[in-house]
Amino acid sequence: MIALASLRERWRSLLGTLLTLAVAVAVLTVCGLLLVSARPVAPERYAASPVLIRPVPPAAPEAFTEPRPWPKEQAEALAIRLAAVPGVSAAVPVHRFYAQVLRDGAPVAGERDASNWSAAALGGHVLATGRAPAGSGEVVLGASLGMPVGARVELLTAAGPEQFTVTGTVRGAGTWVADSVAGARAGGVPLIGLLTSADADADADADADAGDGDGDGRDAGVAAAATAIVGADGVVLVGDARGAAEPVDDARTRWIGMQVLSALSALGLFVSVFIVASTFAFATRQRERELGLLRLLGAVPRQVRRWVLGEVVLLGLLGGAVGIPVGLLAAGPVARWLVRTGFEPASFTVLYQPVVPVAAMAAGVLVALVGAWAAARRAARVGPLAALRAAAVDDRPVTLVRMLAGGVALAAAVAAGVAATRASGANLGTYALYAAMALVTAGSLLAPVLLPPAVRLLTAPFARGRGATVLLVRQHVATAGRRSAAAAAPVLLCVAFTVLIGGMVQTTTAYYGLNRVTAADATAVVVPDGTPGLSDAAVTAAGGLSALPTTLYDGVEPLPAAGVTPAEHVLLTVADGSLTALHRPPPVRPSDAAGPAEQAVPAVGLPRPLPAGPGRARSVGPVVPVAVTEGFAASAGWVTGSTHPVFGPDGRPITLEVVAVLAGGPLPAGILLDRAAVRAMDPSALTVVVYSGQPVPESALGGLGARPLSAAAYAASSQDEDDRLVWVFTALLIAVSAGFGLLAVVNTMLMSTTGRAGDLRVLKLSGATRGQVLGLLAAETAVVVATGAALGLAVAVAALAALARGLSVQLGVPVPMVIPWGTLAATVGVCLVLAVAAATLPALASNAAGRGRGSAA
Amino acid sequence: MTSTATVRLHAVRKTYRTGAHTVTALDGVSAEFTAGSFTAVMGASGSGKSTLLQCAAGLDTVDSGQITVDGTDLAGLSEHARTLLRRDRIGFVFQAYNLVGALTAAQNTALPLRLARRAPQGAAVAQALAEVGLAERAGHYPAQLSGGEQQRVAIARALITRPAVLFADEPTGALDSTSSAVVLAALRRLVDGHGQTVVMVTHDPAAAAVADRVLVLADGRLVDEITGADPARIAARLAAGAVAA
Ligand SMILES: Nc1ncnc2c1ncn2[C@@H]1O[C@H](COP(=O)(O)OP(=O)(O)OP(=O)(O)O)[C@@H](O)[C@H]1O
Ligand SMILES: [Mg+2]
Repeated sequence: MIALASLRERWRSLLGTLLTLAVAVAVLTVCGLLLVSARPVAPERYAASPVLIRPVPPAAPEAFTEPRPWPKEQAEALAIRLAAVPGVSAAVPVHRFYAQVLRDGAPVAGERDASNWSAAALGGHVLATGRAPAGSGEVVLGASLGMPVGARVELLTAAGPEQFTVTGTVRGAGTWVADSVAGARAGGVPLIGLLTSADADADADADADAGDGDGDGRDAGVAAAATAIVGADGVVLVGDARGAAEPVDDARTRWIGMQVLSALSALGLFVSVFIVASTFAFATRQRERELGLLRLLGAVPRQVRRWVLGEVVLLGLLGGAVGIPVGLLAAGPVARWLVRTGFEPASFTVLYQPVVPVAAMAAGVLVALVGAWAAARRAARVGPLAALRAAAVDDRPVTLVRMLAGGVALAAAVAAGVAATRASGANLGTYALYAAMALVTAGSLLAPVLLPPAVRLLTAPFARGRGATVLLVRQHVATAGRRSAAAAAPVLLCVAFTVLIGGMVQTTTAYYGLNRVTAADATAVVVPDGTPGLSDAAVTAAGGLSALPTTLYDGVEPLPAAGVTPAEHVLLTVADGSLTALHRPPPVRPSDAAGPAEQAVPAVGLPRPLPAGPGRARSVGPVVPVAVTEGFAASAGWVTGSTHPVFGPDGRPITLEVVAVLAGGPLPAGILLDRAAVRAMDPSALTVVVYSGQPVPESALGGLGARPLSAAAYAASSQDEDDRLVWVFTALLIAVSAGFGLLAVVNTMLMSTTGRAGDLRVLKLSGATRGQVLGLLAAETAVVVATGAALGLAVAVAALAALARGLSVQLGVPVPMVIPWGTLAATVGVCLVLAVAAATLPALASNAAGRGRGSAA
Repeated sequence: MTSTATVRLHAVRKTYRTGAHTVTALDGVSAEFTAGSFTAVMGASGSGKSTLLQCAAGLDTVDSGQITVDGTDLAGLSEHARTLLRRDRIGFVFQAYNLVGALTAAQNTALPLRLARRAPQGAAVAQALAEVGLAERAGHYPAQLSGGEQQRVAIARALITRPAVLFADEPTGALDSTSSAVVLAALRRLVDGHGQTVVMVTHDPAAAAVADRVLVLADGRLVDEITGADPARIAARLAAGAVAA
């Protein structure tokens, strides 16, 4: 009853907390729904295949590289054995290669690969018109392109634009060529799809116990048999697990989406705990007399604690009741926005799992409880004599526990900062964010210690004046250190996060720009335009320096590599060895000699020979000369002259021979090899960018899916898809943290002034004019905002320094720390305006409303 | 000593330490308050009256000496046990800020019962309010009551648990003489009608005259005891004491 009655009485001052909790629950509901919805979806093109078999993926899913494919011969052998499984009508190896339809010389978005015509059946595609492709220049297209049978169509492949004739169309989207053509053009086999026949149902039903023997039971049986055949050479996917066969790009997009949603949830949780904590710390301080009265009347401390906690549970439930519907309504539009922005693949839809709102509600209550925990403990310690004292003096010094907690938070911040200097990519930002969270916590815990001296310092120049304002401000902030700290905390949070996040983007953008500029002293740069990369024809037309990226495999783990020509040697500095051997004539592969592949390809089902360590290097497959970067050489333990058995991008074993170690500078990959060798092993490899010494005319690149940029434009561009995503992500985080922070600023200031009504009355009675009272409030607020902002800036700068250092270590050149002064000024300005308004408005209102009767509340 | 004293203080000393300063608020005070008696405590500002009440009510600890309330020695009690004793056996009313603003008069009155997890009986609450003449203001919030009415609600609340003793620290300090008279009359009725033990601190000789006995404190010591006197004589005795001191 007391909790309820007190809520009713103080609802105005708790409105901010309620709003915070509601927003937090809404954010959690949306993020939770989207997180559980963000599941890999089996691609359309395999919709009709209930059982998919793919090669063993790398251990780290965040590598976002295709698993090492099977060599064609091994895949064919596997397929033959799989086709013999009862219930399997066909086992189709997929041969896929880069081929993007050009319409009027412009690449068409969507499907970017062509496959063997047999694989069309895996997607359930049947001819709508025409006939299957047979010859080398024939293609079947999805009807959605609107190309009729007999039409000529240009396909952009890794080599360049090629002419094809449409022999048939199917419903939906896709590009298919004759099996022989696809087999010749594709590298390794990334997938084998099984088709099951209807008559297999009979067998499966016989095996099944009850009447539920349907397709699922049959598929499970087929999957079990397939697993026995494939053994350690692959992974059998059935049912929802087939989602693992989604395109790597989709997996990456989904992963980025997960990062965004998790960061938003974490930030939302942290900020709401923070706001609830500061609101309740404040409220408890203001209610000391009332709590003392209750203690005086015989309430035991446990009861007091329970009231405070009961109150926040009610608030949490109320917040949930408001937040959940909002979250449920918002999930759909947010999901569509995520797809549009590129944080989720197009296949993404929201699954409305009832457990999510329930969990969000529970989280909201938990957040409220955690936030109010310290305040509840403090409230329970209020003695009965507090009711008799008129004390406004914060006589309790900062407790040891608080100091210790502040110290721990500071240590955590340093640890996260150190981790940030070691981390890479998206983790770097995450660690910087953690560091800031810990620093914000430390800052607000230690603020009561830091604040009074800081305020004295800040107001020192005015101390000599005769006015009462400075005296009052100084005295108030100094004697009520904790209270002022509670008011300054949200400003600290607001400034720290916006400056940190803004600075993070600008620092990383500076880093990427630096990365690009240092890559080559180029006047012009040619980049893909509507394509995933540049074809060889585009590279030739651009006429500059470039690298052809590919992936080698150490066992199943990817090793990023790139192919270069002798022309690119100008970009390389040799530390050890020599580059002359790098371009030995391309190796003759055993399979190219059309002979049986036994010597290179391990027999199906037998354990694969383990890649030998550097010490006992065994020559397996052809020897390929490579140059490695110093960084890679150091981490992998490779030295000049050593040989290393690995697998090529087509899944065949090769042996790398280190002929040179390269020093310094950013390089496209850790391992460099001859460009022709890459092309031989990876027919679909595409060039990322070409650096040219002279300007490249746009006309030279017509119909090649490429466009030229000046070097300066390129360095400054955020055209990069990743950059754009990072930018949007950042804006989101800033919006959420700033939104929460400003809410908290307004909330605390409103509470603060309401709580000081008595003080202000006394001031007025002792002769202060209304203007003086308002001026005093404004000055006090400004001091608190300024101190909070200064502490917040210190926090942000510390975290940014850690980030810049991390990037410097990664790049090997100093990365300047960028402090977003504009963002800082804007944030502080908005904080100041809102805080002063929130602090003075209630005073104005109470002036207008006249005097109310004082009571214990 | 087998007296029927409800509250007994024996050689109570209490000092406050603030930094280097020590203030002796009570300097060896011994006193007894027998059941059904109405005692006023007077003395100059800072003489230790409030301290005396707070110590006797178990709100504060003493440095030395002994205090028993309703047969229980306060010295041996934990904070928790003292809270329970206060809740069940002691009523307390002070100058201002007596009520929880969020609760109505009736709810405020029933508060000690709720705190004790006893079912608040509507009849008992109504009766307690009736005893202080506020039967029909039960549903009002403190902000809707006058200072005197608030004070009487506080008295009703202090009595709802039928405490052994009621301590009142300047209950009429913030009231005009009419309101004061109503509050004092309410207290007097409790003593006469229900045999309630009352100890009241006051600066007002007229208020003190309502009591059976007046104890006078000076610098933490008991310096005088006046019984059955009218306001004029009490004022005179206080003035004499002040001159003597
Ligand atoms: N919490 C405290 N800390 C330090 N000194 C105190 C404290 N409370 C009271 N004192 C001191 O103890 C002495 C007695 O105070 P007490 O409040 O008992 O006086 P009082 O007789 O009730 O005065 P008044 O009539 O003004 O209410 C005073 O000198 C006072 O300054
Ligand atoms: Mg007093």
